[in-house]
Amino acid sequence: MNRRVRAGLLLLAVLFASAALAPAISRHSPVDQPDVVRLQYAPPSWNHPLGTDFFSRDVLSRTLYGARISLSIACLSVLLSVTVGTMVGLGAGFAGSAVDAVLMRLVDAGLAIPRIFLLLVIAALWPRFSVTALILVLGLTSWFGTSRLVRAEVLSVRNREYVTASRVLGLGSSRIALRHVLPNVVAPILVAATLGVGNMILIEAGLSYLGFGVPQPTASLGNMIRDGQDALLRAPWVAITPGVFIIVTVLAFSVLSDGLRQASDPRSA
Amino acid sequence: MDLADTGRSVDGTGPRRGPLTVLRYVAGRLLQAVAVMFLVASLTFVLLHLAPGDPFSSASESVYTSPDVVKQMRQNFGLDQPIRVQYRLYLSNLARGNLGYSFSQSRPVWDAFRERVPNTLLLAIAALAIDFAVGIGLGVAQGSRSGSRIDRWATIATLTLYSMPVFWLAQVLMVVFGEKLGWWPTGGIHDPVTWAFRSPLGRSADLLWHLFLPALALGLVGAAGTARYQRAQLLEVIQQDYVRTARAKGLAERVVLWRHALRNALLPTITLIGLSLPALLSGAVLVETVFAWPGMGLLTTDAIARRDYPLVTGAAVLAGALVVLSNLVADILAHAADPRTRSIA
Repeated sequence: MNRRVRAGLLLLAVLFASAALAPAISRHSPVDQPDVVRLQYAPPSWNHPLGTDFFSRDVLSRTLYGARISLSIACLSVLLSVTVGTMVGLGAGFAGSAVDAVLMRLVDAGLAIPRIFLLLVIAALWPRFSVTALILVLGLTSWFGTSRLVRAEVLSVRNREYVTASRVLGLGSSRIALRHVLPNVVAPILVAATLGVGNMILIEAGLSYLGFGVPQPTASLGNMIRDGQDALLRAPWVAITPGVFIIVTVLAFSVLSDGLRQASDPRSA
Repeated sequence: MDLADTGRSVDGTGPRRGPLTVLRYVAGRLLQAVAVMFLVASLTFVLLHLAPGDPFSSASESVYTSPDVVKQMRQNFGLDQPIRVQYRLYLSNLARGNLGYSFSQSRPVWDAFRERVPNTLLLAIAALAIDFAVGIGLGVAQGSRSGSRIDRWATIATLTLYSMPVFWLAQVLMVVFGEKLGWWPTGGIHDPVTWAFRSPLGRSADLLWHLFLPALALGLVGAAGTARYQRAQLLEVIQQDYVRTARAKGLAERVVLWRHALRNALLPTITLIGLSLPALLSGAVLVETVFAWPGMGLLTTDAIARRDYPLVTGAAVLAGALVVLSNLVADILAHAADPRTRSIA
């Protein structure tokens, strides 16, 4: 393990642990509004270490519980998109010219529409979706890049001796793809997926910031920033805290991804 | 698109070059762009019809609208036709540049876009200028003295900026430089009071003054990525044999860097310009919301709240078209600039 992998994993361990242990770290509920009159935008204090928001909700609790939601959405939707992208990429790389051409033009089309516009179309057509639906939507609109990456890797290993050997042995295409080619393309997929989780956190935050992501009163890092935007001068802690949490998390995923790339490809050090 | 793809899709472009092969490349690439555009349109059509109900579903549940009116409206918009006919109608309308009729604007979607697209393109181009000026400058400065203290600090800075939500940065810039210090406006595209009395020159100045903060937010986040990429490119080129040869000849380090290394390290970054448009347009949607910049993004997000489907899907198709077009131009330019991409067959 190189230094970046260790640093990234350590940072992520702390961040994930703090999200998982939210009830132990902060005893306030993330949605309770104890005193909207007297505790509105209360500055950081012993009782509320990171202050409160407009509705007197505890910002530390909301950040930690919001991180739970945002991290789960990002991780699960990347898992989905990587699975779909890998399958499509393997299929396109193995199936040969006609299927490959059609699939790759479809991927081109998917990549051509800026993702937020694609998500806005979906937000316009299905008003208010649940967190599960959000994971599905984010995952199913994000696999295009992965499939292209996997396809390129498949094309580069397809004619290696060990693949030819398995073909000569009479193995079927799908067995060769899953047993012999997939293990050799895992490293670039893992590097891209790690970077993808950070990216997904930013996308979910943007969508929630626009009001089309995680619905209120559930906290997500993005909708917290939306909550705090009108009081950035009066109560900067409301929007700054989730912003910093996002930056540190995305940074940790970038560092980890860099480290994994270095480890898997010594030339790019 | 990536080089591996251009090589596969256009056959017969061997090492032999000539106007004919270039022409054939352009034609093939054009055909591919049309195919992608067709798929973009089909994708939005499929999404539209996967959704429950149609634009008049809520009206048909309402007690204030008579069923006859709803039926008539459905007929007017061709929604009573079989899906095959609707699809054909949708495509032929799109091909003629007809994006449909906006419910919330009570006018054709294209008319609404015509006002807003230039504002978004202005924002995107200004951001792109900041992105590449700062990004390339910083990347080259880092790459030419890698491992130094400046390089290490700049790496941390670009990594932080790269991890920052663009709307969050936009908001912080707006509050600090707009609200607190009052150096730049906090939103809008021009001064609502003085705009009418300004000379053309004064108007441009006012526009640039309003453009600065949104473009800076969008540009800086992009610049972080560009700097990281440029630094890596330069470091790779510096290890090449011809750079060592140039040094061995006794050339000054400055000449080696500017004449020999940079030339080849810049080309990959320049081709990124065409590819950075999707991210730029996505970021623009968010930045426009923060700064109330009257562009495509603000128009689209407003339209969602009013369930204006034609406008939202039109925006996606138009954004897709812009991206396809910019990719096409970038590919053709790269093809023209770099002889190596031409010989990949």
